[in-house]
Amino acid sequence: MNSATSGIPISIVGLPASGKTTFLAALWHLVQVGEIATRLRFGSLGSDDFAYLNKIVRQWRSATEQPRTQTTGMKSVVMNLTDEADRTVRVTFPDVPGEEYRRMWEEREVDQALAATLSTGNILLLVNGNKIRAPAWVTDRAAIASAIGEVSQEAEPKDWHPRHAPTQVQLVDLLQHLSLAPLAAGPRKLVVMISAWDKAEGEGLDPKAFLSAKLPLLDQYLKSNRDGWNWRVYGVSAQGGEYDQDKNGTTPRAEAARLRELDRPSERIKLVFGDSRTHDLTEPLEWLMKRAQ
Amino acid sequence: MADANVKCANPDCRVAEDGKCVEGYELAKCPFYGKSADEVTLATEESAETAAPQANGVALSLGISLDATGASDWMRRSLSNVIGIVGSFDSGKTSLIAGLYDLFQLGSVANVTFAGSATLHAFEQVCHDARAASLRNEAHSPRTKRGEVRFYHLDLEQSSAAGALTLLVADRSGEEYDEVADEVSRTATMFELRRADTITLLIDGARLCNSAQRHDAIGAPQLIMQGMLEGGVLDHRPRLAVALTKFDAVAAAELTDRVKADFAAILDALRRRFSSSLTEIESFVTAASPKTVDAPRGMGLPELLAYWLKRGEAKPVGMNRVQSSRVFDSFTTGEVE
Repeated sequence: MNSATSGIPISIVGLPASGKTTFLAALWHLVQVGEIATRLRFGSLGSDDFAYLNKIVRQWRSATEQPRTQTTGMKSVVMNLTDEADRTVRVTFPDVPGEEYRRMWEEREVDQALAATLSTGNILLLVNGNKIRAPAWVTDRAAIASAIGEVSQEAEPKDWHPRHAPTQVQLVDLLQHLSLAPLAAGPRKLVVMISAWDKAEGEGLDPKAFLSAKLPLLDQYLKSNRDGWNWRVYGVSAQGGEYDQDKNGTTPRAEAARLRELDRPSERIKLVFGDSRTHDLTEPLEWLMKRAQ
Repeated sequence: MADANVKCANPDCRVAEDGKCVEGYELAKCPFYGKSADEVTLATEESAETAAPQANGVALSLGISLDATGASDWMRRSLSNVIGIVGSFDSGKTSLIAGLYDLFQLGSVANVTFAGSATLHAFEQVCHDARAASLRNEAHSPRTKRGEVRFYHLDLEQSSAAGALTLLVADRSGEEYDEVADEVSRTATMFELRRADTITLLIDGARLCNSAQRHDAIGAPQLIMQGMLEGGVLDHRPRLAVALTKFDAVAAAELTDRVKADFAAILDALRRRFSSSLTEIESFVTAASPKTVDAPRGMGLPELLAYWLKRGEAKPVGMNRVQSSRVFDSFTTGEVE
């Protein structure tokens, strides 16, 4: 067996609730169990501590939502995967809470350890397709309210806070930070992964068209190629549907029960790229790991 | 095409290509023009656009509007157009900036694509009071405080062969522009106008609808232009965009014909008096951030943007008629003389 060669850092980044931990859990299940053919296969455990991955994968298998990633500190997750040519590659992911990325937008600062990680390697950006904050305007809202005969209520105006910014603005800012000092790493590859695709696909759009329609500022930024991103966009449902909530006293969901009944949990996963559909989450990782052509 | 006979010690200056001094100087007064890099050591400018680093963190760019030094940095780095927006208090300067940025939230504008911005926080801040998140019942625009001019930055990609261009849009309080009509020396500190490729003069549509303010709204723009002419800020023959703002208020007041006639009269007067000092004059009717649905949001802004992105012709000159007391200007003039 080949020993692990050089590490290939891939940073999974995203705002809070973008599905980073769920993606990691689904990926770990996929490569470890080998229920379906994948581009990258499980290599070895190595000497790293897999307790965290095993904990989140148990949650995923039981079709229960992941608890929020702890809001302080950074977990570095390492997987030894084998590619088509039987080369073993060591893939490292920082699993940090989305609050760290939000802090970059709001407080214009990044944790030192995270900065060191983000300033190298390629990027997998998760965007929750079901939680996009789109810009909305007072005049349009007032016109709609008036059209339906609703009298607008006097409310205390809210002062500006960066958190009010549309999702697409926060994401452009994040990618700009990753392209400029002190986080710049030269030309990089980027996968934009629209998560909760089981909900987003109701729009009847493929991932590329979804990006253009729902996040047009981000779409323009990427297409302009100012910062040299070599990018592609996927849709992903790493759960396959709604899981049970991780709280006592909540009602079990029928969809979670249905997903648990699948003989091969890997088939819960849906990955969409253009017209093609697969369960193989390693496909975008393999693309990210290849050297730029 | 670059002129091999033109040299400049500033490695960021493109004067050989476009005839423009990146620092906004009159060429004869530029400390770098006509010299080689060996002859001149460039002063290093410290950028104030990055946050102070914290104990456990790495500072990132602030995303706020740029000061003159920050704007100059961008001018050195990339092909850029500077836009000065001149208008009285509450004439819609900030709304124009916010309205243009907000159009890009929905897609490309006039075949121009958003490619990035160093001032996203600043844009978001000026857009807030017209956004639903503000919980206001009516769109509002924050007032620009007196003080140093600030710049909003947009990198734009044009679909034509024109390629990428950096747009730096200046914002300054309306009171300071009003004072130009009273005291020509006020223009001395207006770096943004001396360097502007296009000066955009705003004519407040809401004031033209108000009988008590109408005639001042007609007369004041000529006085401001006269002040700018005498202050030397038109010496580089910039383009002039004359924009009627708040067309939603005009339409709602049902005074469209009268206001359009007033606007035409203002334009005629400006053309008569100032054409020889300008590369060209163009007019626009806008509703950047309407308070009602009487005009579409962003009305007239795609056309204005296309005008702002025009290149060539205008040649910047330095401030040579009046001395400035501002830090930025004293830095530059101090080296000239």
